[in-house]
Amino acid sequence: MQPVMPDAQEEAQRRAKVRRSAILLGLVALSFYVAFIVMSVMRS
Amino acid sequence: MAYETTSSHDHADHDHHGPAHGWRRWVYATNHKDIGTMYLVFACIMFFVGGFMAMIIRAELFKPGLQLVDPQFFNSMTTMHALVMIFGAVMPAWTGLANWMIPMQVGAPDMALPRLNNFSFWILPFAFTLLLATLFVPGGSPAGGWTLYPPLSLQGGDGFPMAIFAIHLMGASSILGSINVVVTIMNMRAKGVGLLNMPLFCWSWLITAYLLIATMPVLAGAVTMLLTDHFFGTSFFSASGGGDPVMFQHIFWFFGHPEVYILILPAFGIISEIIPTFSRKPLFGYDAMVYATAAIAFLSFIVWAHHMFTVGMPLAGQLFFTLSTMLISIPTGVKVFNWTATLWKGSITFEPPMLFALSFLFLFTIGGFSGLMLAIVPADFQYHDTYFVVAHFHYVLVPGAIFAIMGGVYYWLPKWTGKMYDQKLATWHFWLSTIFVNVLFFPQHFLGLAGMPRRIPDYSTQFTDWNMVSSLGGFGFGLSQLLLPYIIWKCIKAGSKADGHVWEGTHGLEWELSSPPPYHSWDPPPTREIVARGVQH
Repeated sequence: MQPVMPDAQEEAQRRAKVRRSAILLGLVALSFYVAFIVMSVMRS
Repeated sequence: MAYETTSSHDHADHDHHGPAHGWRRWVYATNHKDIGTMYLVFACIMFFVGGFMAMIIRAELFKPGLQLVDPQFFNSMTTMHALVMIFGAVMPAWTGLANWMIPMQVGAPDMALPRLNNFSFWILPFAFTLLLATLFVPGGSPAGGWTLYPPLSLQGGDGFPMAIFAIHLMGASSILGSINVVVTIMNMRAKGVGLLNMPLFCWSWLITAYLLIATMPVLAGAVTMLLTDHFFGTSFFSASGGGDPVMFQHIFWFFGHPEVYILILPAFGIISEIIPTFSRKPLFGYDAMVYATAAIAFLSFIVWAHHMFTVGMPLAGQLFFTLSTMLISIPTGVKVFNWTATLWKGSITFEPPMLFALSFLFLFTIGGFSGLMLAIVPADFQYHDTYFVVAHFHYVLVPGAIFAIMGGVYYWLPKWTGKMYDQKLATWHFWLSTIFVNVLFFPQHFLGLAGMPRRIPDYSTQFTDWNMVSSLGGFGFGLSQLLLPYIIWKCIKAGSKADGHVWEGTHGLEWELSSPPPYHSWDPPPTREIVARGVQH
């Protein structure tokens, strides 16, 4: 039985996707942090 | 080379040959199993630290009057018990289980970002050292409740900024861990493992991770503003400077209610793994379970103000938050009925994980029902800030989240160690836990309905009897938990050999690996035949 081996190009694409989605999720978290502080500044 | 991301670039060279030796293995750990183990050990230590605080609380409340601790320290204990149990015990336990199981369940060799994984874990010991150190500074540790409501929390001593910094660190750890879970599940699944055939533990964690990414920064924002109010002269929440303390409550509970689901959704995933195994039947309604989990997560964002009915809000607000809260019972009911339908006509056996899962099913439902009572505005005006609320959320979190964690540990421990634990002793652990947890928390419903307020070190004599019963239950529950580390230690030292599948009815990729699994779980990736055997349907 042969394992399902991803080829090098597929692996590079995967690594790029991992990096991209990690950065995106980090930015989402950061935007929630900033948005709630900004919202409170506007209200107070 | 297959899976270059984790095999050749992100790992130290020694990882190709096995773990490093001594302290380096743990300090520089990038292997998901090592990091998972560290999370679980950390959670276990914090479980006993938080449990010891609970024992102090129950000892003080054993009879009316002040006998053991002064009121300020008592309030510190209630606050610290909550912070330690939520952020130090339950959440790291879930992250530990996620680290151990998700790569094995989706056919990946490791988490997508192993170094970030190491960083996420090692933040935690610093955060909790800082938090626990507040017990020894002038003014003591935070004593205004885990909700940190201003203006009370702003009156804290030197421990206040330390606790705020610790909360920021815990939040950063959770967010980084969650990012890792999402990118692992979305990008590292083996070929053939689709989103709608991966184990429900992965699904429940995927949804939990999104919740964490959206809500932990909100808590961080709220406590940052507390910090600036305290030290930099701002007035976000100070009425004297034009601020609004009620706004803190809105922001806090926008985080706090989803947090409840962060603590319980992974439990739903584990129960959905255990019940089919020991019923020897596929899970009833897999797709419905996934959609129900997503629905619960969505609804958790629009119910926050049910924690604030007594603050005062327009009638339309009261109706909205009552009805949206009640709506949560629909997807939750779907889950309870689907677990029950899975049990229906199954060949059920009662090994320790199944016992904990069945106990979860009954006792979590009790916690759910008392939650529905609290969602009704006029009733909530009576129950608010009483022991009824304490009983409610402890039923959700102890026989709910913690029993699911114990069920998960007993389910996968033979897989992790390659050895079978003493099932008789684990069954004793189950029965003692189940009996004492009810003796501990059920009387608190009566106390709350009779009007006993929460967060008080002394009480009116009419509450004495049920408090004594509750405290005895607490001591029994606390003592019986010592069995857990003993069972694990005995399993590692002298357990009999466990085979790959461990339990008769197992189904999933993790069971296709040997027990214990190789250091790099799926390197090379699973074959199509293995994936076909291991996926859900």
